[in-house]
This record gives sequence, structure tokens and C-alpha cells, in this order.
Amino acid sequence: MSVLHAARRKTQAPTMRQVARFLRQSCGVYRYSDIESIYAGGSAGFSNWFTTQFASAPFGWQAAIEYYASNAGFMSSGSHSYTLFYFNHTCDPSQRLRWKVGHAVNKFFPINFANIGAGRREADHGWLDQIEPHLFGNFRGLIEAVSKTFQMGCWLTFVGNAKATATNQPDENYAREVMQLFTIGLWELNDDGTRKKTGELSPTDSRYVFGGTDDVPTYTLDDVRGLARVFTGWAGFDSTSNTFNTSTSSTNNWLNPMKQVPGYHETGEKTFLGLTIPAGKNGQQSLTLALDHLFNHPSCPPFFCRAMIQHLTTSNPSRGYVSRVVAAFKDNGQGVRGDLKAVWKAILLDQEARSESVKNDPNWGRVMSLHELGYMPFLALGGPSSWRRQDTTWNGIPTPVILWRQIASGYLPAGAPYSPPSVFGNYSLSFSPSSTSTEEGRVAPELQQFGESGVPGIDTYMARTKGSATNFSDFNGGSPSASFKLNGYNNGDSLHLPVATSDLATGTNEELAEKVNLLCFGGNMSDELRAVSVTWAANSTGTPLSPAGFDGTWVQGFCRRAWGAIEMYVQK
Amino acid sequence: MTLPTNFTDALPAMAAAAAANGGTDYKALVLVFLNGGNDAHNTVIPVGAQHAQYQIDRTEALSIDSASVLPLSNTATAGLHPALTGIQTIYDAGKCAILCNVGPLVDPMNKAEYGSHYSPGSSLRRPYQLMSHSDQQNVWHTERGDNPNEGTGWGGRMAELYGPGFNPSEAFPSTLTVAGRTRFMTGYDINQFSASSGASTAPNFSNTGQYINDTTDGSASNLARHIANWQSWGRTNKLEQELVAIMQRSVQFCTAVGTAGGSTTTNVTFPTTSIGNQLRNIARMIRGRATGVHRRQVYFAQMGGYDLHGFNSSTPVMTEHSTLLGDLNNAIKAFYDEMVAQGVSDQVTLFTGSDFGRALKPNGTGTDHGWGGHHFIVGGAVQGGRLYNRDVKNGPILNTFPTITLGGPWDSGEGRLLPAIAVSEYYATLAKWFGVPDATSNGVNPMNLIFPLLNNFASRDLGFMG
Repeated sequence: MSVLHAARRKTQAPTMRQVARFLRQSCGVYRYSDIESIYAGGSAGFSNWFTTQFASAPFGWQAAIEYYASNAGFMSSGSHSYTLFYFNHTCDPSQRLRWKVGHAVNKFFPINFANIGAGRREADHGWLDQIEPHLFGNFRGLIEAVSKTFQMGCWLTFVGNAKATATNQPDENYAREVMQLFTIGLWELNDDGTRKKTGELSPTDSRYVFGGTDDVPTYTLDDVRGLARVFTGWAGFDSTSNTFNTSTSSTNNWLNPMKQVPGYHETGEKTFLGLTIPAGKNGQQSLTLALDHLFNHPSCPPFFCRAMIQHLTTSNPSRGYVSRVVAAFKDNGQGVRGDLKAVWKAILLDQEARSESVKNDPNWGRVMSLHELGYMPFLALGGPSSWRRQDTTWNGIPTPVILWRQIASGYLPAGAPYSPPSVFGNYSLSFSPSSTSTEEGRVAPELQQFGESGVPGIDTYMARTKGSATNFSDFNGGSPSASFKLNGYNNGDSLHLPVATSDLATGTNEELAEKVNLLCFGGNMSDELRAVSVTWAANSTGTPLSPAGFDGTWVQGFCRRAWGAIEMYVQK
Repeated sequence: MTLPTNFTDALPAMAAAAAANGGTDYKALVLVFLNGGNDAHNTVIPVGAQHAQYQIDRTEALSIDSASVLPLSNTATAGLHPALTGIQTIYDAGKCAILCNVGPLVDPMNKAEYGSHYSPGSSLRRPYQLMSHSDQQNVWHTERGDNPNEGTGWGGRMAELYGPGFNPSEAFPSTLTVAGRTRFMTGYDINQFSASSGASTAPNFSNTGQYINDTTDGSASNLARHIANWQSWGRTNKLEQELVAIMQRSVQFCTAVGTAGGSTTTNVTFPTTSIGNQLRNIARMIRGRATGVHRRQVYFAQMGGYDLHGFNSSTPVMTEHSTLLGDLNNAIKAFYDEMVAQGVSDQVTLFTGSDFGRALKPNGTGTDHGWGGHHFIVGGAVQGGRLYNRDVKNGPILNTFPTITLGGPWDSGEGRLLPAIAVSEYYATLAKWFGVPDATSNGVNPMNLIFPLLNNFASRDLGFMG
């Protein structure tokens, strides 16, 4: 594409539907006011939005959650705090991008907090508070922060890992996974995300094969063993100068980076992936050198960037799309490698993501994860008081009252957020539901969560979300355990989102249908679906429903028909 | 994707196999996968002369002392982890076999041919990405240690062949998982059914859900209507297509699976652990099957938590491993007893798999990834009460425990065992019992279609299925 062409496209003001599509990719869940705000910015709408989002401060979970715990009766000591993270974005438009890319990053570094820190809510938000400052920072800072959290130390078992003795070798767990899952992956990659072949290596590389077509493994077991020597001597924040503290009941350990305990770090020479860390380097020095080496590895940008694209916009990005995002990772335009702000903008503003024509490409898009689907129809509409207690706020943020465990977990066959069974996550980015897709190189990661036996639950969930004539949702809140119950909640209270105070409160039927399209379909609702939904809405009580103005019954009838349609599941 | 032509060519032989025995017999295979890499060294433990060295290599803190090892009848060289009392009982009754040092291989090799982790000793091929969880699970599921891009599993490939002959009515799925979608059961045309492992629900519905019938515009359920609309509108998005396929199978099979399993109780009380619930739901589906209609079934169950590198909470790995093996033991024992009570124990064979075994040399508080491991095969048809082992590459099958200590003939480094028996040999033995002919007919050998690497190995039948 010519420069002139690109410049012209850049200056075009997006339509409301194009804004909605952008927000579905960038936030997942958003309000009507978010669409209007970007739309009002015209051709600068997207870039202004990024500027605002990047300028927002990280939420600061520790203070908020302690406030909720002591003032709202919300968090008793045994409960986990991740559900709050899930809700906050619905209240605070300035946190939307952080929330969405935070989820992408947390799927890249999947930790099960209940597994490592049962009953310690600070295991959850201590992680968020250490990771979130880096979401709009640099990947190098992010990977160092991740590698020093007590949470990761526990999850991948290198907290308390000591140098080799006659009978023991250092724990290899983190050394392996930091390469396989967190930085460079199993196979050497080209900048477009495809696997390098042995014939494409430099002829001076010992693995070079003339004309070779085999994939090239990134590392060997010897590299794992060499790197394992780096991750020694780390222990919890409460450690003393000569004792490991690995206690999971120490709040300080969860809230602060690990530190080195002298005498336990391997100070001998360490060799991996062609790097030799000379003897005598201490724990932090060795970590710095090792992470620099991984960060500068040619496979790191395509490995990370492709995964982020898959979590945000499309499961099967083109080579060109990956290449363009990788270029932004390698150089943000000012010579900086690893600038995540540049990566997020590159992913979300790329010509492929913004293109209208890819919507018709059979291979483009991603299935929304069950966690996203579970919240989207509720929260997109925006709920007032019955969803949150307005009287208890912290920094202006109303306390969330609905909890994942109380509602969605009864219907959607996906565990609670932040509870993956292993470091391989709730689903694999290389998952294909059929051999056809695999052989054609296509994946549909989120479909790993959709089992035949789970589909009826999803269907039921969508149906119940639609609610009664005047309220979205007819969920009974049930009898949550004390630790999940807010002051003032009575067992069995229904959880309603009154239509009258939602984003669908006003407008003609035609306007309401379009709002549903923008809020729940990212502006991509098909004409056919709209037509059948209108027809059905008109017939839902046996008489035509076509009042001139707002009518809650009509919009309910319309949603009842539209929600749960196949095209709602796939973000294009 | 359409079935490859060589699979189509094998269907007549499979149909002939199905017609034999009066055409009414029933068999099921149940894979219990130990996700994370089970520490085989502390599951089947050397006794006698080798035990002392095992304990030195593993260190006292991370080994099982000789007094605690459960003895096995007529077996002088190995015993079991103390939590495996039920397995011990079944083994002693001759209904459980132990397959020693089995794992992914492409070419059989000895230690000299393997060389070192970094430097191969010969040009013989190794499986790709050894010691990576995701990749080695794939190899266990696909059998294809030579091909990282293999999309089908051997359970799925086998179902492609037995489905038409043995399960001509499509009223019930031929492959069922109670542990989520698995590569093991991915086929070409055939699709696995993902049933529920829920504690208190029927195996058809994972949760409180059921199809919502909206009678206001007709009798179709919401879901059926959305599927019909999608089809009538001629949509082409492949992700939507895959989703619709799952939904269609849900509509097609949920009622049948629910009828089979939902109203069926078990004779035996199963433990309410995850693996207990999974095996209970499999037992219910087996009991509720329509006799003579679906004559061959493959089931998949899975337990997590075996990746015990060291502390990740306050529980020592030895305690965690003991809990896991206890849960496994109790669930397998209940399942076997239930099969006996249902009168189908000779027709149902349960077998275990895992990413890999673990290193013998510890890392301080736990152990790291290995390669070969030991596995259990349980059922009335099993020639059990003995070990199945090889002492040399391609050697005869022996009833003794292999040398597993550091520096031994199978130590590829740190006590990560170079497998003496290939997963291909393990699976072919099960497939032969299941009814897959191992002979060329119509230009193809069905066994080789399911296990493309089988010709590389010495045995096509290890003998543990008689």
C-alpha cells in the first residue's frame, strides 16, 4: 500500500459501527458512552483513546481490596480477589484497555492463585499490583517483574531453589517454562511468526542442513539445565540474610518481589543458548544477563506478539500482520525494543484489524472466551444500583456485588478466571477442534472450552441473561458463602439489570436494535439476524410490538432472539 | 476433512472383523492420563538388590523406603507405592499388568545410540521436543513422535475404522471424553463427544443447563434455531463452522448420552474425587449403553497435578504424590469392581498414560521431567500379575524390573529413562485386543494406519492382552 493511501485511511473518521468493532477487540466490554466518546473524536478518536488509556494510573489493588474488606464486608480473609479485577472495568472507563491487555498477558503467564495461595487473597492482587505497572511499559521490565514475583516462584517452584549439591541438581521447572511459554517458544521463529527451517539457518550454525525443511528446536535440555542454575537463591521477601522464607502465609511475600539469599545462588559459570554468564556473578546480575539474552533472542518478538494478537483480535493472523506488530516490538519508532504501548497500538490499529473486508475472510476472527461471553451481554448494557452498591465506594468505584462464582460458574463450563489447571492455561493457543484445521495450520483456541455437554449450559445462560419483560437477567443470586456476600445482600435476592436504566433505556425500536448491535455484536450484527429478531420481537406476546418509542418488552424480545446467535460468539 | 483413501480401503476388513463373533460383542478402552508427568520411579519401585541404590540416587527424603513398598505376588523385583493398595489387589488377582519403562520413541535405540541430551550418539531419530509437557502429551496421544503437526490421535484414527463396522447406528458417539477435548480422540471425520465429569449431574449436561425451548415461535430450541439460521444464511466463517459442529453434536447426542448415563446408577460407590467422578460417569455410560448398537467405545479420563517439581504450596511433594496416587488407586479400584459387578470386566480395559516419567536425581524438593515410565493395564482380559519389560533394545519381553539407577543401561542422564518399550507397541497390543486386524487386506494393514511408526519396532503384540 502506498504511503499516500495509508495516510488517507488514517485520517478517515470511523463510523459508530467501526468504533464498536474496535472496542470489542480492545476492551471486550464497553458502554455506549465509550462508543460515543471515540466517535466524537473523529479521525483522532482512536489515538486520543489510546492516549487517555495509557495515561491512566494502575488501579492499586491492595489498598482497594483492604478497603472493601474492612468497610463493605466483601472480602473475608479466605476469599480470592480476582473477581474484583473482573468487575472493575465496568465501572471505570479509564481502565478498559488495561483490563483487556491484562487478561491477554495473564493468559500468557497463567497462574492458579487458589492453588499456590489458598485462602490468601493477596496472592491474587499482589500479582496484579506487581504486573499492571508494566502493561504499558516494556516487555523486558514485565518479564523481570514476572520472574521475581513470589507467585511465579511458588507456581513454577523456583522459590527456595538452591545451587547444585552432590545429590541434587537445581530445579529446572522455571528455566524450561520461561523459555517455552514466556519468551521464545519451542521452535525458532521468523519475524512473520512462521517456523524457521534448518535450511534457513546461517550456514555457520551447527544445526544448518543444506536444503533442510525440518523445524528448529529453540533449545536443548542442556540449555534448560544451564538456565536452571540462574534461578537459584531466590526466596520470599521476608527471608533473612541466610534463611529462605517460602511461607505462603506471609502477606509481605505475596506483595513484594522475591529477593536473593546469599550462599544459595550458583555462582559458577552458567551457559545456555550460546550465552556464558561468567563465574562470580550474583543472583541479580545473573538474572539480568539471562533475561536480556532471552529478550534479545530473535524468536521473542514473534512468539509474544503472535500470542497477543490471538488473544485480542484473530486466532489466525496473516504473516504480514504478525510482521508489522513484531516490527513495532523491535523498534517503537524511537529505537526502543519491547515497548508494549507500541505493541498494543500496532495490534489494534493494524490495517488487518481495522479492515472491513477481513470480516468476510472465512479464517479471520476469534471465538470469544467463555469468561468474556459470560459478562459481555450483562455489562455492555451498563447496570445501575442493583448491580453494585453505590453507598460503598472506594476512589469513586462502586463496590461490585455480582460475583462470577454466584452466576456464571453455574452455567458456563469454564472455571473461574485465574484458575488454570496448569501453566499451560485454560486453553492452548495451538488448539484445533478438528484435524482439518490442524493440517491447514488453523487454530480455534477458545473452542477448547466448548464441549458438547457444556453447550446446553451456555444456551441456558444466554437465555436467562435476557431476563423478564422489565429486567435483563432473571438470575437468582443464590446463597453465596459469607466471604462472597456483600453487606445488605439477602440470600435469594435476584440480580436484575432494569431495562429502564440501561443503555437501552431510550430510543426508537430501530435505534434500540442498533444499540444492541453496537454493544453486543461489535457492530457486526448481520442484516438477516436483525430481521428475524425484529420479526420475532414483534410476535413474542402474540401481538405486534411496535410502539413508537421505547418499550422494554420490545427490546427484551429483540435480545431474546438475537442473543445466543452463532455470530455473537465470534469476534470479527 | 474426508477420510484418507487408505482408511476407506481398510473399512471392509474392519467390517469383517465386526461381523465375526456373531456381531454382538462389546469392548471398551479407557485411557486414564496422568497429566504433568507421573513420577514412575516412586510409583513402581525396585525391591531386592536394586532398592538400596535407588534410594541413594533419589535421596532418602524423596524415595520410598523398602519397608513401605507394597509387595506384589510372584514378583521379586518390584513393588508399589504404599497408596496403591487397590492396584496391588487387582495385580495379585492377575487382572493388572505393569508395563515397565515405556515411552515415546521413533526408532528404538540403546544408550550409546542415544548419546547425550545435546549430542546424538547415532543418526537414529528421537521424538521431537522431549521433556516438554505439551509436546510429549501430544506424542502419547498421536503416537507420532516424528511429526509435531499430526492432527489426529490414535483413538480418533482407530474410531474412524471401527465406527462404521462396529457402531453402524450413529445414535451414540464412538469416542467420549469426560476430561475435555483431547488430541487423542481427534479423527478425520469422526468427532469426540465431550461429556461431563460433574459430580452430581448426568454425563450429558455439564451443569444445570438444558436446552431452552422457546415455544413462542415454534417448538425448536433456541440452539437449534440459531444453528438452522446460520446454515440457511450460508455463512462461511470457519470458527463459526467449528462451533456449529460442536453444537450440532450436542443436539444430536446429548439426549442419547443422557439416557445412557443420566438415569443409570452404579453398583459400587465411587470416590467423589475428580478422577472418581470421571470414572463413575464412564461406568454409567457403559452400563446404560444400548446393547448391540454401539459395540466399541473409547473413553478418555484425566488427572492433573503430577508435575511435582517441588513446593508450590505448603505441601511437600511426597505428600502430594501420595494423595494423587491414592485418588488414582481408589478410582481405578472402584471402576474395576464396578465392571465386575456389571459383568463386563472382561470387555473393558483401563490403561494409564502420562507426559513422561521423571528424573531419578532430585532437585532438592522434587523432581524434573524425564522420559520413559511405568504404566498399569487393568481389566479381566489382561494377562496380569506380572511385569512386562525389556532389558536390551528390541529384546524379548521379560517378567523382571529394569535397571533404573543412575548410570544404568537406560539412564539418558539424571535418571531420565530412555524407553525400552515404545508407546506404539503398547497401543498396538491394546488395538489388537480391541479387534483391529493386523494383516494386509485390500492393500492396507489397518494396524499400520493407526500406528504409522509400528513397523520400526520389534513387537506388534507385547502379550499383556493374552
